[in-house]
Amino acid sequence: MSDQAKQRLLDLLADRATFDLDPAEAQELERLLGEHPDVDGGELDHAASVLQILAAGTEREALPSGLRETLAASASGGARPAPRTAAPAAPAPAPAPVPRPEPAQGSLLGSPWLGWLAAAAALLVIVLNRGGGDAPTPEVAREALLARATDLVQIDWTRTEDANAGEVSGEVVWSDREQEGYMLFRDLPVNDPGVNQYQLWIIDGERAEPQPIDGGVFDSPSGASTLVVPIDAKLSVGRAATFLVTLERPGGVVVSEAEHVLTTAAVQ
Amino acid sequence: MAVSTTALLPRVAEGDPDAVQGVLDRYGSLVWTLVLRGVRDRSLAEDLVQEIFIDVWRSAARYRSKLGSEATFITTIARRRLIDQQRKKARRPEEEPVEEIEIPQEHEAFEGLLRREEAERALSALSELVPEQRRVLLLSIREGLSHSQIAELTGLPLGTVKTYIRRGLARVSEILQRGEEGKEERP
Repeated sequence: MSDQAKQRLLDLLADRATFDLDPAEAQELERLLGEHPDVDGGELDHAASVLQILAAGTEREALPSGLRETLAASASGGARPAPRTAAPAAPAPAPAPVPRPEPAQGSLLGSPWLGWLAAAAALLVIVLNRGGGDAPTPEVAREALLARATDLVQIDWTRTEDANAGEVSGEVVWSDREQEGYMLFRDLPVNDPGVNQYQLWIIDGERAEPQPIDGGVFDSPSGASTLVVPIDAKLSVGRAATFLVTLERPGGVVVSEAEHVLTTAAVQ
Repeated sequence: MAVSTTALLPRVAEGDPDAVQGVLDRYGSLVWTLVLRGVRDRSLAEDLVQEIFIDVWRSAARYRSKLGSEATFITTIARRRLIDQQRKKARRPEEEPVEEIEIPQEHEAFEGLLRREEAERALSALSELVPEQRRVLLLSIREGLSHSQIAELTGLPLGTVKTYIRRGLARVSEILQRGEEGKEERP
């Protein structure tokens, strides 16, 4: 890295540590960090926290006792977080019908072992898909996330009145801890990628900057009444608060004018 | 004496209620004091502290002792929440104190929160800065003011404020890293 590039990276990290990045600078920082994975972006955050402790001085006030009890109580859920579900979860998409073989003599049909075997088989499929040379399909990866994430948010889309939204419905699932999530759409209108594309935005409840995080550009091909799209957040999401899908020019935009917001999902 | 070597956050992540009480014993007053000073409203401070500790419980498994004390880990989480709140309120710079921010110069004052060498190095780094630079940096860190608010408050050009903060923080970070080994994820 050139001295100039290193200095620019350090400057942006210092701005981030003091919460003074604008959206363009945030994008630039993310790009520079991606180009220089050897740089530890947390060092300046750490230095800022040490200074904050020093600057707090030695005169500290004890926690009010009622507040302390509330905080202790909140830990029982916080240490083992339950899934936060803002709305009743939409049913999972129906699996493709497969021919069911006739049970053989002495089969385990009806036995309690059948459930375990089915679960093991499903797990094997997921493991094979994750560990094999081929990447899992978004549908399989989504199911795997649903099965393992302990901090999952699962929220129905709320369609807006924008004419481009059509009859779209579905849900979004996301894990802050795993930084992974998927959008499921039903009846998302087909788009022409040469004319416009869909783009996801994530509002991070932990960021001082109001600009949403780019969650990726995607299309709705013809013939797909149900569509699962992986979320491709361009920045780390601290605490996903709201998801929005907009219609943008081909390739997406860095900052959306939000002219066409089609559907939203808010974590409650 | 250094910070207690008994790490509490890994036990919090495992659901140990005694560790939760330990975290509140050790760091509750620090967080409460930071927040109360930041928002100057007890009711609002209580809400904010609840949000901060929920984040702490959720993030506890990510704590790595090699990176620094539990206090700095928790303070980083608290700072994010606090700054969000302060920026929402859009505080007016002229409401902020303009006097020099006093910091105790003995590392013992921070026993239980910072490692001895961590406190010594940070104090040393701060002492290297010229008074105006130190003041600008601490207005940003302690008061949570934006760079432009500090420029307005102090009458310094925005570019000078940014340079003071960037170079000052980089210097503190550089000195803190001396002798550190291992690098892992921070909150």
